[in-house]
Amino acid sequence: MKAVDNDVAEVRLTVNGQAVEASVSPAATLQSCLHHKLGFREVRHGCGEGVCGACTVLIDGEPRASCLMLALQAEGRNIVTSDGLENQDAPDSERAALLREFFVERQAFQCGYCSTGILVSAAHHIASEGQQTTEGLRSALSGHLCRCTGYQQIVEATNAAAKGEAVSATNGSRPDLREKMSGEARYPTDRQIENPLIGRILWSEHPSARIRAIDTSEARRVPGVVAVLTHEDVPGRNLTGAVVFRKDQPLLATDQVRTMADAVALVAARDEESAHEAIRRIRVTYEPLPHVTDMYEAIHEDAPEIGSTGNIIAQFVEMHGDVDEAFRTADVVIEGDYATTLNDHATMELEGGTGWLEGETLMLTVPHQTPDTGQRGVATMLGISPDKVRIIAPRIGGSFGKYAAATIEGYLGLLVYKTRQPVRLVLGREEMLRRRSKRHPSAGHYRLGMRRDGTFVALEAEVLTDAGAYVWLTPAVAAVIPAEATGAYNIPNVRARARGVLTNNLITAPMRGYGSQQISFGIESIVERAAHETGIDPAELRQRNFKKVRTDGQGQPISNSPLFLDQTLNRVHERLGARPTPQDGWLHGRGFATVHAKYGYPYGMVDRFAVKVSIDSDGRFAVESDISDSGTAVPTEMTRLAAQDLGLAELPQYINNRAAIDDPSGVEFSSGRRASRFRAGLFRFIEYGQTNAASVLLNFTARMETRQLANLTRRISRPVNFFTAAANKFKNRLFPYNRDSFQPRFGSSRALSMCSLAVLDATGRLKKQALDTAARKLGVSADELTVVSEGVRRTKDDALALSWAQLAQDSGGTLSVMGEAHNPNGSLFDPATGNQRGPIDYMDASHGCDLAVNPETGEVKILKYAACHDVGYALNPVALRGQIIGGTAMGIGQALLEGLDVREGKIFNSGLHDYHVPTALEMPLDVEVELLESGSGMGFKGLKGIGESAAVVAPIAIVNALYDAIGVQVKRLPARPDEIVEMIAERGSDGQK
Amino acid sequence: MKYLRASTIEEAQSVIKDGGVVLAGGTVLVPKIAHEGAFGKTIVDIGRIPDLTEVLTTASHLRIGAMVTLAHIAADVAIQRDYGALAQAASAIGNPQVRRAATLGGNVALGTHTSDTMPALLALDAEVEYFGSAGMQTRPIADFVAAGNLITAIRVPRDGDVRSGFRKFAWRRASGISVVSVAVALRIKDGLISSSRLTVNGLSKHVVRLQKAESLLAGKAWTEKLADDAANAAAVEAVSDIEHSASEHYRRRLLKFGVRETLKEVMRA
Repeated sequence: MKAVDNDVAEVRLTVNGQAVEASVSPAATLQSCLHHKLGFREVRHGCGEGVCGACTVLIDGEPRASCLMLALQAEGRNIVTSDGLENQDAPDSERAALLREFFVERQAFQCGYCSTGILVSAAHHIASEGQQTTEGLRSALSGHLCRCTGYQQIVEATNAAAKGEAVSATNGSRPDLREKMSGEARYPTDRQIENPLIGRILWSEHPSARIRAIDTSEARRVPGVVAVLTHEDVPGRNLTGAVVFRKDQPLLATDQVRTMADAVALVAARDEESAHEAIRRIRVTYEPLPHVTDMYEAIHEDAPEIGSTGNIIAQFVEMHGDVDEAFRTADVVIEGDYATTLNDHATMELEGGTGWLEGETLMLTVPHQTPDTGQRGVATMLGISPDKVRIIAPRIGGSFGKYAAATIEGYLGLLVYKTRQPVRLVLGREEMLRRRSKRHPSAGHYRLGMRRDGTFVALEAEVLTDAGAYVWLTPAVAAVIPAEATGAYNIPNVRARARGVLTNNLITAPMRGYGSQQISFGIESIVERAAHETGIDPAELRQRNFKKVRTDGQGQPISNSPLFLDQTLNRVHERLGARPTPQDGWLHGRGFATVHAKYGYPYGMVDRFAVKVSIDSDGRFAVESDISDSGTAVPTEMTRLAAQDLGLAELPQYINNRAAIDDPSGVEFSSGRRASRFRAGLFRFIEYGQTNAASVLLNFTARMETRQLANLTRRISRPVNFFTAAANKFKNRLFPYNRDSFQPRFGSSRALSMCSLAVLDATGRLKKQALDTAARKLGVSADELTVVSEGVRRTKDDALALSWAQLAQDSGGTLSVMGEAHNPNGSLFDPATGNQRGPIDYMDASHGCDLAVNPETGEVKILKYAACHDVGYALNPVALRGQIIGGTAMGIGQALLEGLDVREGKIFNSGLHDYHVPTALEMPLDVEVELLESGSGMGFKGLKGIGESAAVVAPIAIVNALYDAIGVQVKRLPARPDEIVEMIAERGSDGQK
Repeated sequence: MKYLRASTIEEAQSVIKDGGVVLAGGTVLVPKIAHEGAFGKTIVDIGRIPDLTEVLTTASHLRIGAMVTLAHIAADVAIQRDYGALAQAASAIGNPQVRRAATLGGNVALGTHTSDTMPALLALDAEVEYFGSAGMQTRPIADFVAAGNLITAIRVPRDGDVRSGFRKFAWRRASGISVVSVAVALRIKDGLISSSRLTVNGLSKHVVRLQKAESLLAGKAWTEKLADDAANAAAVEAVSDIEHSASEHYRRRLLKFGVRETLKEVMRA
């Protein structure tokens, strides 16, 4: 018998053909040993319970979850990680190499976090089963979760590799995937530094309670514990979270907790077990207070007050036409209540990272879509200068809006700052589900007035959205709701209102299609109900009312901007074709949905994209920007565009340039000098003034009567617009590359449309600069020269005058230029109506599906699925298809699977085993995607944003098909099988159809 | 925490009787250790004990070693043919990676209503062979208590006349936790159902037999109507005493549907 009774034990393994040895804790999993002790970073961690498959390796030739095995159990075993697949005996190694090529060619992954595990299972499947059915392959991959892709391109790539097809010569459109499919890629939660301290958080025990006492004395005595921190240890201001609209969230609770998401204390210890033990020994004495977790109760006068100024924290209205008169004269009025629930973003990478000190600079590898706000938040909390904090995350394992605001950087920052040692703080999946941000739930009452022929005449929408205990970005989410109230339809008389409400629920962060998702579900549901109640075909009713041209904030059409909503629906209709033959005993249904959802919402802010294109003295090109990679392909697309425009054979290197983030003036970024404190301070001051004014206005108007509010915004619209424009102009002039600091620097649907323009602006300037430099050097006029892919040629004899390398040498070693693109500076209000000006452009898409429902069990099978998106221009059709299928997968999850069990402000799901992110087996066999290229977008060749739209439209198409199948409308997502059975019974009893 | 790797059954049992925790496939225990810590417990790894991984066919039984994986059982052609319920139950658990780690012994030791092999094994009238304080013993699966004992094998009676099947309902097709699962085993002699065992999991704390429904089938010739009658009887007789996010009414529906459809499938095969 082998016995280990120490804190540390030796384990011997063979990994990728090499004998290795590691000292591990007996409680350490094989995944943790491989990743953290042995440095096989490709063995990733996503759930710790064998559901997500990110940690999959071959153990004695079989794909196994290395998180389900202790390192000591693996003693003597032969382990192959994804990076070692090609080292195996041929021919399996050749197949694995081919598979990798196909994954790149088919752009099978996006954020790439799940890719290394999937590689192992897919390679094993091909090697053991050879060419198999798609179903067989989906089963083989069903022990993996991918949040980005919807699996389809993964399955297609694997099939292609299994068949031994030839990899297309045009591959390489996602070269970033090569790195993501290996241990080379560093994600925030990966091993960054050897043997960091382990951080842990003690969370609130109540949704609302007064804290009487916090006793950490016992916890401090646990051997191995280095620090136990409470609010008393915060050196600066005890604040965290999204501080754009209100500074209301303490980093660590002082005398009160308002949500289960409140952190009370932090621990750093030498190992996991001591950290656990210390958390367990902190004694917090609570006095529970009454809590409110229902939005309708929260807006009641007698409700317990959660914030400092009442529970309604934002109110937005959209009004045009004469709504009351229109309803009076309408032939039909349809009413309904529709609610969207909270979802977890369920990024495959867990939330967290590692922090350490480099000199006096605090380095943090944490996911954050707006690193500027994150850095400044940490600096304020620590009472240090913002340039002493750096958030480094060139790529992350998924975000979907979650990290538009976060608090993890504050917890980690404080632990590092106090211990002066490297700390790793990564939340568990249960903590992420029970304690971290969720999508904003909403509840709305909708009234739609129409004429007998189906023409819509009036809409009233009254929506509440739940912020949770702190304001965060809720005003931005609430603002979208009335602005998009009419959805894809032309409705002349509208009164829509959305209010953001504080409750003692969890905190909320934007999630894919924030605001749009909530309101689209409402408007599409009331339209669907109207179709059912009037007997008009739902597709026809939509066609009759579609917006034909874009409208501005007054409901006035903008000339030369036609919309193609009708075509997207037509194409989906055609693709679905004849209805499928009904299967015995199953109920069949078909449903459609169309959305017209924002991308790029300036809210009066400066949203600028700056890109630097440079050539070094060896003639190597680089594209630099502050845009990081959450999987959306934006950085790679920038390099592709630059290569295309300059005619380069090889893609330039992409550099995630921190200077652009650290220095908002962009001076360092553009010329190597840092902005003076005064200039940087002035920039911040103006920004502060603007956001402060916004938050004052939000507070002031939150509880106003609707008409009074509209009057006010109309009256102040001109001065507000004037001052906003003036301030933005001033900022633009003074700080040549600035942008407002809470503008997301990861993805977001607008990113590519803007980045594409910035890159082309840069390449244009580069060509001009090359000509000027060459002309000066050669003493000729620039007119006599031409820029070609190798450098500059003399036009008359076509001889190469100067190569790029020479041009760079002549420019002092590097030839670099800046390119930029602006989102149109938003003017906030329309002077005629007081309504918001709204987004700069919209994503237009229709989805449709045929599904079958088993009336006895409530099981739903999606039989056929089609999507058509107006993408403007398809710069990378494969990537677009991947985004659309991935969004559809998320939509399937929202519609049918992803239920959070929430009661009295507490969430009871504990992992990915009971929060049901769709697996490959949940997906329809083929999501047919059609791209419509209208050229009407804001980007290069009229390309449009796309990323969020599929996730907004897909769940609605599915529930509309359910409505068609069972005759009862789903009013709250998700529709779980037992609820579907109940709804069918309900139809039986009241005869509704 | 203390980690022991046992090389014999006796070694393992000597640790277990003093409160040691058995580490079999690890799919349940390892996440727990990683998440909560083992806090001073002794973990005894039985993965290297040689005779626990055999599948043997004796004159009277199929004997499956406790450490045989669910993936192995699901893929075993002979088990698929003769013990359909067990093979189907094994293949319905978790996902491919989990099934390659999870063992039959471990799944039985869970003994709770989350074990999906239990209804199949109870329907097949399986026995647990274990090593306890009184040495090697065998007990019917329904009477087995895991505490202090080391499961060495599961023995399923060989009977060429028995046909069996299994069905699981979960919210998700892979990595789904069973809401309700049912198993049926029918002994067909001279065209008549001479005896049957119907089991369900998901309504009460333990896997239970549905004896009223079984008696309805006894001695009858197969008709589809018989399946309906048995399913209806099963849905009525099952005792429900656990809380679940799905209503009792719904779970009874699943039971009814499961019994009916599994009976039909078994008879079609």
